[in-house]
Amino acid sequence: MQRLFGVFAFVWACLWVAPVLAAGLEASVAIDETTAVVGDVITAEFTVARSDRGELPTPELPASVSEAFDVGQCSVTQSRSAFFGSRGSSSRRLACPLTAKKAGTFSIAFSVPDGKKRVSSNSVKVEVTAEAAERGPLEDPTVEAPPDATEDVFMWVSVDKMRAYVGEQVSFRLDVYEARRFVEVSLATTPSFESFTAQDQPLPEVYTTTVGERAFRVRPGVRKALFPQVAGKATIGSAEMLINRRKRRSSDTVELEILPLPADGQPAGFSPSNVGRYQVAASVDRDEVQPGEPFTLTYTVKGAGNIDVFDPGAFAELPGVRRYDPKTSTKRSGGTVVGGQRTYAFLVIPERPGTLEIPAHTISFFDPEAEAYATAASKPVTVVVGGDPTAIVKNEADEGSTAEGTAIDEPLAPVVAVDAVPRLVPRDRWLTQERWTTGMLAIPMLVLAGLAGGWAWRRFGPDDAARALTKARARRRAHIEVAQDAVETGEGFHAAIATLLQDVALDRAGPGGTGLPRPELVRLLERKGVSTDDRRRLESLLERCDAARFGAVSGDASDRNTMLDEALSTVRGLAKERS
Amino acid sequence: MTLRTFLLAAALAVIPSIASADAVDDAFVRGTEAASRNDWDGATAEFETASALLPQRSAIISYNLGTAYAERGDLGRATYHLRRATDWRSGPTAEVLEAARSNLAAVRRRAELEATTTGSMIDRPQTTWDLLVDAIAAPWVAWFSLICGGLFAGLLFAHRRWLRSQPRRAGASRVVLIALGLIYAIAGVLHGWSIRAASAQPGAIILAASLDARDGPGQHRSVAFTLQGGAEVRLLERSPGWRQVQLPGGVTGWVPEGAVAELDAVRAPGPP
Repeated sequence: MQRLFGVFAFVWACLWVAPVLAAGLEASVAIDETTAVVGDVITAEFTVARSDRGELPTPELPASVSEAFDVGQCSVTQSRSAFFGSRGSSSRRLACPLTAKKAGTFSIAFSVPDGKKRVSSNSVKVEVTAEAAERGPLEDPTVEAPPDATEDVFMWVSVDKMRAYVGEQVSFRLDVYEARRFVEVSLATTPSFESFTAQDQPLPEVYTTTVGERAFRVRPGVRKALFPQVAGKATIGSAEMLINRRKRRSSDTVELEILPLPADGQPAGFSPSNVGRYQVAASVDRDEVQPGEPFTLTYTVKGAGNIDVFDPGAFAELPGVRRYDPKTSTKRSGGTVVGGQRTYAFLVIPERPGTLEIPAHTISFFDPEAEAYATAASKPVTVVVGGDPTAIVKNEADEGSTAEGTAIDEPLAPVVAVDAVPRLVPRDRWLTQERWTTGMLAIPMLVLAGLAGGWAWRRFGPDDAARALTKARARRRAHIEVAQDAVETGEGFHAAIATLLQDVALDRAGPGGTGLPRPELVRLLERKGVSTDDRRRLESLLERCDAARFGAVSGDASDRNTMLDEALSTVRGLAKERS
Repeated sequence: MTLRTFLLAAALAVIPSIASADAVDDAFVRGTEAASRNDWDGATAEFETASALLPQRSAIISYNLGTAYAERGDLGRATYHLRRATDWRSGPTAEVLEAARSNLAAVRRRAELEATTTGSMIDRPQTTWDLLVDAIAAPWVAWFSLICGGLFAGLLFAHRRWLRSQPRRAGASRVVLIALGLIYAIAGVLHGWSIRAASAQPGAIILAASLDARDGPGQHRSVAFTLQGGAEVRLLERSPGWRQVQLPGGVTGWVPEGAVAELDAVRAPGPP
């Protein structure tokens, strides 16, 4: 423990003592690049540091710097460091971007006041070389890769041929070579192709190669297919790239010799756009049609060359048909050689039956490899137009001509002629969208409500016994009503009273009373606890009813009224005893 | 005095409608006379006048107007008016309906030919699926689904009581009940879906002979594709002066509001 404390005390003392030993003001200059080309941007840092408690001056840019460099926006930063209460040190730094504006070797140093004296910094020499003269054309631009490298980052341009005919494809490539890693390179300006029409071509992936025994990463920058437009000298301008946003470098220019298309052997009406190698074919989508039925006649030109501007020449007129302007479409092929196919689809409407002969179509082009003109022709096509050979379809005036944009004159049904327009009373549908929606939604609601109601009835409604009792009461009420109605006439009175009493007695006796003869039923009622008076009255009433029904002793209305009161009293008695 | 005032008011109320009715008939007759002379410009002008004067739809005016436009070569307006002539709300007779369908087919063929030659886009011909969707949206499907639903609900309760007395026939009655329930559910959902789609994205016809559809509302937006006059589209969104339209294939673009007319609109668009 004592040893550890000793080590700590020693370190602390050193931190105190060291600044004392190095006390005073220090000035220094640092430059990120000591060599540059006029136009390049370098960064100079002017730093003053102090380890004592004296005043820390701000470094100032020396006047000599601005003679050789354009000074950009400078920034000042200040920092201070201390350790465990030691005095520490403080510094102030001025950082300026400097753009070299003339060639030469320049020393950069500065001094700052420290009391009565001045402290000078170190001196850094910067060598600025003159801007490269405008780069001339390459002697042999067909060399795809550079033989040697003088810089870490540079551009290399090449073409596949130095001599070409007007309209012949020339492939141009520009690659950026980088020997250093973590370099930010961007093309500030692309090459100019003033005497050419140019088509972009796909860029390959980045790859590595060796140039002069140094490994370079190659970034393909530009790939163009160029088609010279005029004969003579044609120049591809230089491109300019920006390295780390500070350095600018230009590429070489390329000069090509463009030859005119030879006059010897040139077909009449030849289009200078037709340079390359082509084929042509003709086809129809149907070879049997009816008069007035349209079909499609397609000419397809395919080959290598600037297919976008290919001129197929005039297509032969077809007598007896109407032919509309063609729909053209181009499908380019991939690869470094520009080419593809171009189709011309005509809508053709034959107007008369017979055999329609579509003659061969001939195209002419200049083959730059053979350095001669050539032709290609499609095969003739025959289309059979069915129907009556003597019939002639409409538009006889247009016979033999190529119609432009007129429609098929199909007859229309005539207009309706009436003296008075029928008035229609506007009537909306009863089943509107709202009503239908409401009804459709109400149905499941009703079903649910019904199911819920049924469940509630089963859950909270009367049981079987209560329902049977209600039923029996209703039956008795019906019998009593019949009896009351029959009091005056007597017709059916005793039958109703007998049925009522029998029903009440059976109900009182329970299930065992069903089917028993009357004496047995009365004995059962006795066992069930029916009083003697009620039993006697019941027997008496039933016998009187039997006598009245079968013995024709019905009595008068007052007798029947009395009997009814007696029966009702008996019924109440039996019901009361049961309850 | 009171009776006299009443008669005067009644006369004032009736006379304008009579005058309007006469003007409709007069314009219509003048239109048919112009058509008989093959003066299709005059015929369309007179039929347009008759259409503007008549407050309700008329299949016969729509038919004559569509036919006159077709004779003039205005395929967009011809398609629009002939389509309206076939609408049941216009009250077409069987003869007018047949003639309108015939002319509509002829106009459609011309429009397809135009589209082929100019490279513009037109809606594809109706497929079986389209016809099925139209059939599902028909009123009878609404009635059918509603009646099946009512029967389903009624029989559901009757079924429970009936089963107590006819337990042997429970299977058959259950099948009937399930069938009704399925018809109610399926027809209801499909019809609801179809009428909702029709109201949210109403059908419309491109009136202009050839119309540039842009990728946004505004003349400064780039042209996405060109529409053929007479093409049927669906209206999706609305922006001041512009409507977003969709072809049945799903291609969408923005067109000026006046160049497209909604088929279900109460009033037909006026002359170009």
